[in-house]
Amino acid sequence: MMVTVRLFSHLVKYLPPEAKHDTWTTALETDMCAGDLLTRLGFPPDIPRAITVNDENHKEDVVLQEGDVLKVFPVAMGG
Amino acid sequence: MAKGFMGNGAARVLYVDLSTGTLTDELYGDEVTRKFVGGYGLAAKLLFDKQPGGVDALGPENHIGLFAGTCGGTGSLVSSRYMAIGKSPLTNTWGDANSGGYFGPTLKFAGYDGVLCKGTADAPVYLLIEEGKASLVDAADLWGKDTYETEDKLRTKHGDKAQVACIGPASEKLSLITGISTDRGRYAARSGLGAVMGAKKLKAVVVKGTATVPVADPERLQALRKEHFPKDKEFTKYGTAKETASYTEAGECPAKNWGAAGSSVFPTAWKITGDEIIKYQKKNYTCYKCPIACGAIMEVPEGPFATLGDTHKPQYETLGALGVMCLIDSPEAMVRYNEICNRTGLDTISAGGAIAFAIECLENGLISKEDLGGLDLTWGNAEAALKLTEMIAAREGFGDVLADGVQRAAQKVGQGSEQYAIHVGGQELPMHDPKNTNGLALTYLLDATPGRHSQGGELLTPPGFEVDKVDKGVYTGRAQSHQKLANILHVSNAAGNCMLAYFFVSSQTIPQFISAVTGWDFDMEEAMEAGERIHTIRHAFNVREGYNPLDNIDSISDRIFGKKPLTEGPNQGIDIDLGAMTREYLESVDWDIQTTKPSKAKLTSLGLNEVVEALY
Repeated sequence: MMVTVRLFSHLVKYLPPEAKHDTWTTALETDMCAGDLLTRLGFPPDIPRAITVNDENHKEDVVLQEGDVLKVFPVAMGG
Repeated sequence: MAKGFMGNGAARVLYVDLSTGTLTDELYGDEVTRKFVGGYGLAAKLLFDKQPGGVDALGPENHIGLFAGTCGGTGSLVSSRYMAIGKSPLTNTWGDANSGGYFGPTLKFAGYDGVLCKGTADAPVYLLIEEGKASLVDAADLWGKDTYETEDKLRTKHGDKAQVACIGPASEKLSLITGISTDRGRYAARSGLGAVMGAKKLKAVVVKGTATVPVADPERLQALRKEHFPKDKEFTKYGTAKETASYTEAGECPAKNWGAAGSSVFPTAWKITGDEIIKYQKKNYTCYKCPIACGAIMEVPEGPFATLGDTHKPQYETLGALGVMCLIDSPEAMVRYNEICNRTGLDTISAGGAIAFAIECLENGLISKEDLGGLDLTWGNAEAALKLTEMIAAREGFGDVLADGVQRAAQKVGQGSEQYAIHVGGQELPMHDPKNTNGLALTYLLDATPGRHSQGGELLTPPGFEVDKVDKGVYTGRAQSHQKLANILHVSNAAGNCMLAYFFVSSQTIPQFISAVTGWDFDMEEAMEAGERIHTIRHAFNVREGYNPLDNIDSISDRIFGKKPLTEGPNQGIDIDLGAMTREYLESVDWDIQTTKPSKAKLTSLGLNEVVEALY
């Protein structure tokens, strides 16, 4: 199945080189959850982040589906 | 009594009575400073003690205080900030605002930890503190000048080493959404404290000195600094300006005057983000001994939004307030807006909120184009928004209505315009939506300065600080973590730390640095208690004023907490359970769940007997 991943702000460093700007579309095995994908991308477990799938808030155990758009945001800080 | 003349945890405070021209010193030793960590913690204690409840915030009985951090001027990490304090004329509550740069450390080099001014001068004056000696100087030739001109003139007179905290013309005109400028446009912007200086006819405070701030354990301080020296190239390059697009996409940044959220309503947020902003950058700069150096000087050399000269890089809050809130995507307009606000004294957050409010009032027929002097004030019209900014600063036309913030503007416009007035307690909200970062609901509503994001809580969870992780959309289980986060922020503020730079340093170092500077055996447990003490006395100040933050709930716009939920975008359908959050928090801190008055037992346990006497 194909899934699109968008990473924001300083998190873009976890995208693979073939990604375009902040977006990466990839083939994934079925039954993969968002957290597993982030681990595969090299996200440390303790880096603060929030995710949405198709613009809805989810926990990282959400199982990704064909055509899903996973967005990963740094947790907001003041400024 | 004090261990030393200043430093080592002791504090020297200058009291100024502008009505009589009297200047006196007071020294405070560890027995007072340690309880409140010095700095603005001490300031909170002094304002509570020295000022009766119910005074007119723009009257002579109110104080304006400028306090350096306890670690300021020592080389402690990221401790450049000073805090302005006083009763806020915008919210009629405790008010504070802080800023970095060089003023705070230089106040200490000049011999003082803080300055507290009351009274009203007959004619404009500035306070000069030079090598431990203070005097009031005629400022007739400075009145009416913008902050850049004022600072330049005072530097010409007193030398390049002088640091200046001053107000602009909008503060002289008592606009309640104005702040205090240092470093030619760095701002202690919130709480309307610029208007307090304006009402006192205090144009500026000039500090100059060469004193060395005593450090109890300089070797330990150096070792801590070396061990925890932070580096973050991204933050140095962009500051917070890199976050506009991501926060818009996530629903963190409110769009279209909080009427929407997400990139679908403002797909060009990237144009006012990161590289698009810094292309106007001339050079980076750092605050006093800060390793991060996220500040920058910019110039737009030509075009309709050309700046008058060098000006500061706009922060995320500024980009959100004029950009995402008003759907303006011109980076040049952002830089020029920042310059207008910085020169005149306007708080960029509040001014952006006021412009967005006016756009909606015009769009919905509550005011006319004629009311706006013919301005075609529509979403995305940068030229009109900048003209209106100048009108607010000058109190010209409808700008006069907006110059005291959206709450008061809505009272004048009427006709249901309150729904477009995005504020809590009279203060325009910053660019962080509690529907995305839920814990902000507690900060906005219950901190002593309503409507602030920078007062501790979920938004400001520093590294190395353990809190309960609560999922978005869950409104219980947050109270204790919220209080801990507020406590550590107050301690960090009192130390003079920058909350942003501390995102790159473990929070466990905060008491360690304080300990190295003061010589106190100060650990995290004591820091937590001191932080709660500061938090509580600030709140007690408001209780004495007759202020109950829960009274705000029914009068604020339905948009803020989702009482009228958004129907699309990342925050759609979210309706924060404010009742559950506030009740749990008030029970947790032992404040009355209806009046919010802290219990006698809580006050006594914190050693706040003076507060018990005042409130009971």
